[in-house]
Amino acid sequence: MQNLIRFIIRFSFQIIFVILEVFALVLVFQNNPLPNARLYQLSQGINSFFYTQSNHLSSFFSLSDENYALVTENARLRNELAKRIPLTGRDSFSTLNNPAYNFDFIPARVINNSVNKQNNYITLDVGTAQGVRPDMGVVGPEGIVGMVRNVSVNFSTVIPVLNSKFRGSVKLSSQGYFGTLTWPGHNYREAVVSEIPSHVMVYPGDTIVTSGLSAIFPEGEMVGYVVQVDKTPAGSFFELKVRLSQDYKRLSRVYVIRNFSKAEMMRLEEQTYD
Amino acid sequence: MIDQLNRYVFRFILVILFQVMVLNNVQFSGYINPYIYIWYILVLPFETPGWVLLLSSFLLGLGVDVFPQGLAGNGSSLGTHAASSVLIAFLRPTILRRLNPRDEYEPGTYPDSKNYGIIWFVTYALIMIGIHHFVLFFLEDLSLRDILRTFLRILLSGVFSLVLILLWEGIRFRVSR
Repeated sequence: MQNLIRFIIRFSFQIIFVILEVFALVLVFQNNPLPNARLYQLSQGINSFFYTQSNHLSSFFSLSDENYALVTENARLRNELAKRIPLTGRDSFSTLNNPAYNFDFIPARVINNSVNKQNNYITLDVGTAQGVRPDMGVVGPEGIVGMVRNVSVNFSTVIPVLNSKFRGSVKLSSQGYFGTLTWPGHNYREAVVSEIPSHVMVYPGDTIVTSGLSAIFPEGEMVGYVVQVDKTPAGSFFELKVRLSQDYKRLSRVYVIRNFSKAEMMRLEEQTYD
Repeated sequence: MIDQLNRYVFRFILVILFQVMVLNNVQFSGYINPYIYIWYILVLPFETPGWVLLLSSFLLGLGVDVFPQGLAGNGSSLGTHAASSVLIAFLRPTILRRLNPRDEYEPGTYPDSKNYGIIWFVTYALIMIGIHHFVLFFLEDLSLRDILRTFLRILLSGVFSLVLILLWEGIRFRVSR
């Protein structure tokens, strides 16, 4: 305590100076809009400089992946467009009746995903607020992903192809025969298409697309390529091993597909089956 | 003692009034704003206690601060004069020690041109004015964008402040003689 008092007395000149100077500077910086604005500008300038630099840097590193995904998706969209324009160009009725116009794509981001379990699930950052409902289809930039299972206000869970509960209606793109897409497990790049009649000429490399029968996916969404053709023990059907076109390990941006005429279709079908 | 106190209080008020009533209203372009009030800090007695030196300088600067800054208004803001005045008051003992003309300052004298000669006083005043104006103009401007313009203002205003302070000293001698 004595030391403190001695210290204060010894340095009283300096202490008084610091107090008065700080007080004066506080006056300068607090009461005046000009210095405040200047300081604000300065700190904003520094902030935005660093922010811009780090942003440049991080986007630079993911640039090639990003580019690749965009290019492939662009290609797919161009093909789609090329397929549809001649159809819609014919007359106005065909435009109205074109089934493609009943579908609507909701962009979403994958926020949780797995590929190494028997029953994998995916979580998306869209929910009822964005118009997502259970049983809607989900496609990625390279092919189909799965079906929406549960929906909350802002999130939804998806049963992907890589889940033993998944059943999808697909067809051989070249010949139009229908089959069922399932996943036997083990390999996240390969699935199985069964119930293709054994008289059909199937070769490795044939394209598998969605059939459009379930009203979950529009017709012709990419699924994958045949890699191996096996006969079932009974002999009347083929079991096709299919390489999935969508790599589920690099899934980040997907689209949830909304089918506007599904409710009407379901109602009609229920009446018929009862 | 009371007589001397009265004299310094009178000087204090006079120098502020002259600064804010006359000099702040004289504008030669935007570059020349002479500040004569620091003369008061320059010529305080050697024996002035530290706290009196600091506090009176602070109040002097604040006194100049609270008056509107003349016709041009030049964006001078509250606290700038107080900050620069307190700084030169703080540095005054050090500067005086460095400028020691002979071995010691004679007791009972003032650091002015009458006691220690015009050349000594000009050196002393230039150092004090330089520091004061440097801090003042940079606090007013608060940016390094127009750094050349700010230096020009410091230089021109400093010269004019010095001339005015010397004139003031001269007038004082005539009157006192």
